[in-house]
Amino acid sequence: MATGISNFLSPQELHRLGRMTIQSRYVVEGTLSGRHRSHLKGASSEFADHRAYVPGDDPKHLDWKVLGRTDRYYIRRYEDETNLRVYLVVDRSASMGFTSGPVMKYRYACQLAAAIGYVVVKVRDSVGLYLYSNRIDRQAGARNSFAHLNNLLKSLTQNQPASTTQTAKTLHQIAEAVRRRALIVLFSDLLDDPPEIIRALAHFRKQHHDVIVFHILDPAELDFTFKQAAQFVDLETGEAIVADPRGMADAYRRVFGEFLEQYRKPCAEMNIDYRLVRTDQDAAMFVRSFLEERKRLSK
Amino acid sequence: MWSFLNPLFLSALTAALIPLILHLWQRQRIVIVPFSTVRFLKLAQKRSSNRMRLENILLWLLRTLILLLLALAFAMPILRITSLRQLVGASRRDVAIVWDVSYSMDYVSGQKNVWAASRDTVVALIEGLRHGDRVCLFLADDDVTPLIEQPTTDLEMVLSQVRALEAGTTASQLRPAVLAALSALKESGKREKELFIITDGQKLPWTSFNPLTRSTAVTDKTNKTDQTDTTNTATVEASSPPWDAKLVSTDISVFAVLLGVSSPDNAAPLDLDIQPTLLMRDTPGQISVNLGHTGPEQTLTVSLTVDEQAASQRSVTLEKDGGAPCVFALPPLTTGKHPARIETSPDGITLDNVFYFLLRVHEKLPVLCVGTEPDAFFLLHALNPGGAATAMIVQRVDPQAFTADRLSDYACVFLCNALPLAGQAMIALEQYAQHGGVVVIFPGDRAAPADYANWTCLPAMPKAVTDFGADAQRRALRLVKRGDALFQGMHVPPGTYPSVAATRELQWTKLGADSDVVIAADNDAPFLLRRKVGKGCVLFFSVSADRRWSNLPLSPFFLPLVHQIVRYSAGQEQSEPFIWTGRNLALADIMGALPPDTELLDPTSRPVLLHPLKAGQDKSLGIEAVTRPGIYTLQSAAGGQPQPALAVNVMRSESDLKRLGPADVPMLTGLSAIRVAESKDDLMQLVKELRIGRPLAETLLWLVLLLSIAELFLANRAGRKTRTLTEQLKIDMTGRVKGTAAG
Repeated sequence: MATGISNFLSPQELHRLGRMTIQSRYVVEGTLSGRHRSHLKGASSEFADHRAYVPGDDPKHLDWKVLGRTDRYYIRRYEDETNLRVYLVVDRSASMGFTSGPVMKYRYACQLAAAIGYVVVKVRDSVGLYLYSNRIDRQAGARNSFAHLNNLLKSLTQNQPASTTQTAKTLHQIAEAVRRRALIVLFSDLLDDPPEIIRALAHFRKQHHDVIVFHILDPAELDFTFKQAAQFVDLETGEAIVADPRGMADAYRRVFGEFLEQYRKPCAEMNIDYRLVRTDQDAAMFVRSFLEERKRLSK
Repeated sequence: MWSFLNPLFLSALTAALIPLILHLWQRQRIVIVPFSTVRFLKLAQKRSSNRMRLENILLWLLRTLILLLLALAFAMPILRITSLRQLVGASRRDVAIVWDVSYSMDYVSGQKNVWAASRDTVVALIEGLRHGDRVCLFLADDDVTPLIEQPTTDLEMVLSQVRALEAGTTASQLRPAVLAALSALKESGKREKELFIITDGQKLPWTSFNPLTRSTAVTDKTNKTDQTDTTNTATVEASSPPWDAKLVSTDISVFAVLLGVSSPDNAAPLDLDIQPTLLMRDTPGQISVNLGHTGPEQTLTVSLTVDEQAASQRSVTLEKDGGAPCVFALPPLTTGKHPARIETSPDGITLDNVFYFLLRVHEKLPVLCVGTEPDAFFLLHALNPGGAATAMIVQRVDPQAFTADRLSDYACVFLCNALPLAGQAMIALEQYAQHGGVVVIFPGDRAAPADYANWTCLPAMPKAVTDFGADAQRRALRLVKRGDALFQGMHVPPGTYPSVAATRELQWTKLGADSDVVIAADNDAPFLLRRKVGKGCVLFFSVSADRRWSNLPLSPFFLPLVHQIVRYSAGQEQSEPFIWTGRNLALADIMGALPPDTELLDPTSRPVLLHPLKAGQDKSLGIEAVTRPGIYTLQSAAGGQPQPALAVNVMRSESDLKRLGPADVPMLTGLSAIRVAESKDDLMQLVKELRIGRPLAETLLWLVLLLSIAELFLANRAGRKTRTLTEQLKIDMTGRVKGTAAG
């Protein structure tokens, strides 16, 4: 059985994704120089500002033109350019194990994570992973190698959906763990308390992280297209309820619509890139469309 | 009360439990579906539970009801309305049948014979009765003829009478017969009561329930028909009490059957007018016939036959449900009575296709002139201007020699300055006028105004004689009513006014009863007055017949005027050219006194039975019923050829076959519960429903169909196509949400 990235993406899909890049909409902090702006002043050609010369500064940074005009010593400072660190945060709670079609939500989340990770590593940015349920089940720091990416994806494959979920608590923990500015990409069905999750996302934003939320839902969860009366059993809690879907579909859609609205609006207000993803879409194509749009908007 | 033809199927009522059992069974074998979270389901269920529960209960009720009704329908339920009455002992019934026997019932269209159909219906009704049931039968003609007046159990006897009965020759009205039938049912006690009205669906007989609609219907006819018809009808209507729907008690079941064809077609001569009214020997005339028609536009042939010889023929186009006039030239005829008839092409009703009448042709007109020779000089010359033998035989007699003998031989009596007369003579003249004679009075110097006081038949009493002396007053004369019968045939050019110069004239008191001014002098001064007296009249001039009072005798107006008076007098005496069929007709009214040793024969040459009309002094004879149309003749005991005496026609109002709809019957009768059928089978079905019960299986099956449609709608309403959340949110391929969730 194939493991790693080939488990999730075909060579054709990888080829198509190879030309894509993912951009952070904010300045980031990295350990390597790269194509992303850093909040640190460094050696790039992008002028940042002046500061007064103090003994010990390299004279080569003196702004001779300013000195000639004003007889004062100023040091030219340049913006640093660094690499992007992307953390893939994947929900593996039991609810992610639901499917009404061929693709389980968790599997779909893994496909998205693989595609994003590939794009990141391809442009020599770093990728890390947080896999959580009601706690952080697996974490890996950000590195920019395909071997690292394959390891991450293997661990995704090895961990299947189980357990209950505590998304908000876990996200808070992740926000505390990631100290440097990074791009946080969340893959989850967000079936938890929306206000708490919003607070956790706000925590990321407070830490100056750029956040992308992929809200992954099965079509049956969205539209409730069941035909026969049945006993519905909660995958996380095991709670059961007998319902006639035809009679209550409208009410369900209203309730679920209200649930989605609790994420959409606050995310927009916090400048979090919120995307609603149906598992019946092609994952690679979705990622391509998403990245192209993101690139277009960042120009 | 209910009963079931297939009670075995009632056990299928347990099938009503099937929906409940299915529901419980479904609950037990419900499938388990793992779902990401049920919290939204719980919330949704909370919101929609009341509505869902209501829908579910409604569905369960509908399905249960459908199965119940199906089981009931197969059990063939019968609703027995009368069972309750049977329980209290009213198991026998009294049936009253009102049968329209007017001649319109004899309508034949192709294979359909309305009379035969009606007879079959009556027979079926009677044969449907059980032992002990009673029946009475009333024939609705122009009044009511009780065939079986009291309810009888001898059904065979009634059937034999029904089978022997033929359609009548009169018009019909249903009200008197229905009232008589209701009266007969009053004595039925606790028995079940049923009233059947068998008719052809013609509108006319039903209008008798509502006098307003009847008068509207009758005004469709010609004036003359109106008068005769309304007179006849008025007599019957006066003799029977007015209609009130409350007369029909709630325990009487009323049925009506309208058996006629839906689009009847009939044409008939309705009325005729003979000009001149006074036919003289070898003088041509003219006959105008009014044709009536019911049905689509058609062209028919109308022929005139006189003395059994075809005289003339016309082709007339009649519009849809409209009439048309038709004029025939009358050839010169010999003196005497000539039987004649107008005939139209054969159609649905043959009885009204022939219109019989008599043409009375006069040889001479005898006129009596009472007055001295000078007083009557101008009048005598005016009546016989050539001095040779003319159509008039004028006889003069002096006032002193005047006797009342053989006054009836004269068409007219002129009194020229003849008053005062003896009392016997005055009484004789008054009686002469009563019996149709015309008395014409010219005043004169012999009589003072007071001399007229004893005369009770004058149009107005003279109060004075005005003498103008040498100053003669020129008076312009004006015909007050140009269309008056007195001036019929007289030609006065419009705008021309005859005038006289009067030196003396009578002054009048107020006009008496039945009096009018025929010719006025100047504007309003009476010049010639008239009073109807019995069948005749009295005419009174305000000037004398000689030159002493005026120059009237010398005016060109005098001669035509006196000739017109004589013709009018002859017409007054003349009897009608025809009469309508009717009952209890006085012989004196229709043909005068019957000569001794003479017998009146009907058109089939059978003697007509005569009977005294009133007991006591008035021994005048009458005919009980003149119902057969045709020419009635007088046969002398001495033998010889029968002489035509009467022409009788059926009442033409019945020829108008305008049809009534079933919905109109309750409206006209005011009986909302009346059951109306349009054929024998329909009627028998209604009777069956009343007597046996109404089968409800078909109704129940229709109900099941409707409930099934409702169930289908309700069951699929929950699963109807609504916009999904994906459609509402408008998620694009990059996962961006562009819409919002509704609600």
